[in-house]
Amino acid sequence: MRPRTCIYFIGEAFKSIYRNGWMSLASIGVVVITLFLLGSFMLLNHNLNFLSEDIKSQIEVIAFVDESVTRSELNDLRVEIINMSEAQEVKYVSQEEAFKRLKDQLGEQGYLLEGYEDGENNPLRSSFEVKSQVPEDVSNLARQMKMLPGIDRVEYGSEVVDRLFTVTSIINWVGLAFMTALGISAMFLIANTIKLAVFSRRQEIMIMKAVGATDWFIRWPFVIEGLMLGLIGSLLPLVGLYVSYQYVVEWVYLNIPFLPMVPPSLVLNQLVKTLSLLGIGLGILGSSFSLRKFLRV
Amino acid sequence: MQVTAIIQFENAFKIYPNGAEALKNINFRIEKGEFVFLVGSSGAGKTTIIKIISRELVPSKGKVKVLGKDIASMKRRDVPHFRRNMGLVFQDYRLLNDRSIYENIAFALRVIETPEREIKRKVMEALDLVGLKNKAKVKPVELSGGEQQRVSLARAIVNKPSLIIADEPTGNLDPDTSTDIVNLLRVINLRGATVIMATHDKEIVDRLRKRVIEIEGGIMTRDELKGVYRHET
Repeated sequence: MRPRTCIYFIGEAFKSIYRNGWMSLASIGVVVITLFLLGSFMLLNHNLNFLSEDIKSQIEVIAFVDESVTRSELNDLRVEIINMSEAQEVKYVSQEEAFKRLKDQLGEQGYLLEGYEDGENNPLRSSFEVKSQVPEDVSNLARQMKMLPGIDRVEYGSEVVDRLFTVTSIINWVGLAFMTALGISAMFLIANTIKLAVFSRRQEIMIMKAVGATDWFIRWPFVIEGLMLGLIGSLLPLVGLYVSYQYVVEWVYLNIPFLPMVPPSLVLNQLVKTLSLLGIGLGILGSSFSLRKFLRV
Repeated sequence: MQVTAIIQFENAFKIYPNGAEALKNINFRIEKGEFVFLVGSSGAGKTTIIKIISRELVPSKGKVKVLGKDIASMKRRDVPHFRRNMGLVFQDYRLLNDRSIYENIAFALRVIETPEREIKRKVMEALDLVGLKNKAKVKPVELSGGEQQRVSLARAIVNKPSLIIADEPTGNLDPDTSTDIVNLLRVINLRGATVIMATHDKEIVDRLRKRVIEIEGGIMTRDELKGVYRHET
């Protein structure tokens, strides 16, 4: 394709966008909404994953020790756990310490525990809190510890993570369905805009056909028009999300410091790529849909 | 003797999808350099013939060859280049009103990717031939019907095609202006192009005494050298 021809196509595309102003605006608007939602979901998703990774890394196995275990047996147990290859950090929590923690947690309601303090009456068990080297090994570690003599019961926090994953995947599916619907309507609006553009230039197209312009010469400006609608539609959500995400991360960092957020530098690059490619894709799909139907050249 | 036929219809039929038989068993040859009138009442099949020649339609049966190419077996992607060898003129001029006369003709060259340096020369040459060189910057709406048709003629010949197909080019014009247009077509013909003109215009056909092919109800009823519009019965 000659450069001059290329410039001609782009010029024609922009003229057409301008000529069908309102329709173009509507198409761009729906692309903006679609991609804005998509981008937000992407960021939310990244952060939920980040959060669950963070929680997973903090998971520990709690092994409750049987009442009958003696002090020396307790030491043997401790050594055995430390020797497990998966174990990273082992902490012994005595009955007394467990009681103190519970009392601290209850705060003002601490009086409820009165009379249970002394050894015989203390209903709590002593335990080992074990962190694993790798989060994925937690269940393995738990199983091994359960088999040790003197361990009564083992608990670990996998349920929390499982639940978080369920929530994430529900959000993902709902979001995906929603975005697909929006994406399709964006495509149809673009298709409709292109249809109008084809219609308003039917005289030109007729002449082009009569003088022997090739099919692609006639099609290109419309393909470019669709592409431009998609691309322009992706710019606004890109800039909006780029700026607001940085702002949100900063705000969270200052106000909810314990909530981990994905640093902007890690996600924004991917966001830019995904959104602009999707915008262009929507535009080209929409226009090719219309060209197939209304431009039998 | 086989002379190079520009157009050749051999037992050609055209049946539309709704079953209407637009052309029944059409046979004729048009040689290089001829000037042919295609006559007949409205709906007789003149336009169908013209659309087959320009490969807007394909014959349903029989063989049609134009400029050495078989119309029915021509591939879609070969159609544009095939059309660059012919100039089409329509009753309604088909000019773009949002641009000047010059731009209208240049448009026809630009969309077949003619180098820009050739465009100006070719456009001015064509405008000169139709006598509108001094109106290059004017828009079509500021011209009379006859002048607009001359612009469309200029557009048809700008690429120097060997075949000119005019479908009722004088249909919207008064007799004097019609004569101007037909005279221009004759000039183009004398310069070497084969011309086919579908028309209702009895006066012109009778005066020029060129070859006449008459179609009635999809059937070719007459093919006469130096013919008239209609013989009195």
